[in-house]
Amino acid sequence: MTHHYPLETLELYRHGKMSLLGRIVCSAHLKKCPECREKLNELATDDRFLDNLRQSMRSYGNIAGVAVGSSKNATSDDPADWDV
Amino acid sequence: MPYTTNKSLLARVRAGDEISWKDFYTTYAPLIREVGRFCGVHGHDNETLVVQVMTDIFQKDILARYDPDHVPDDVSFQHDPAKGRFRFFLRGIARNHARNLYRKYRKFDAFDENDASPCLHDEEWENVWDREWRRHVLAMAMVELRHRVRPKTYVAFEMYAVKEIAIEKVAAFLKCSVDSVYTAKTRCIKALKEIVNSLEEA
Repeated sequence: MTHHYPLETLELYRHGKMSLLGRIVCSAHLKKCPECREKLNELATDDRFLDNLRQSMRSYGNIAGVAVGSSKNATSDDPADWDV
Repeated sequence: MPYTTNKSLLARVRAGDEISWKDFYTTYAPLIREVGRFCGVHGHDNETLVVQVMTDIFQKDILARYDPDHVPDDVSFQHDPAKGRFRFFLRGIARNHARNLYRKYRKFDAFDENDASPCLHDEEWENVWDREWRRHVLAMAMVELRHRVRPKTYVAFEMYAVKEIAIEKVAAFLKCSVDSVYTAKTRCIKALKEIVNSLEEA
């Protein structure tokens, strides 16, 4: 049976959060597995969707009860600053 | 959130629900304001645009009877499907008022072909409206998403994918694994796309 990577693992791969060995194995797998390459493309498509969503939240976040725009939210180490 | 049901206002419009002025105003004022701004309707005229569109939608003498911020809940409307899809119905009303206000502001008696304001050109207006409409629909989809997934899933998605907080921090805050945050992201995006597709049909 062919082994395929779950999306979560491919996320780790594309964000450089895998071990060196894991990256090498995953990279080799991707070269010969069109299904996993397709999943990787889907994740890139999702990135564009999220860009639009963030843009939307900057203009209309009050409708959804989501405050976006403060870079502090993305960088602070203190959860109290995250405005969840 | 401006409303208490688990459906966005657009979903309620599509379902033929009765919509109160208050809910409608809170939800659509930002869209009309934003589109007006892109079209050169600023400041006091921008706020006038919002009120004029709302008054037109509700077809009542709202301005003479009430302060726009204190309209009673029983002032409501139901979208009549015979008037076409709601997004086009609203787009037409907003455009008429934006164009009139813009021309008044610029003191134009007639169209100036060299004027680039989108409210003077059908195609430009539709482009601006459609772009802002899509963004607005995404915001409403987030309202519905909140009711479709578990609270922890929603919070993980909002923190990581929307607010761009580092995934390790999100995982630590929610006391879960990094994989779980990625799973939440995947689930929420899938659900959001479904919600957006259903809302776009309205």
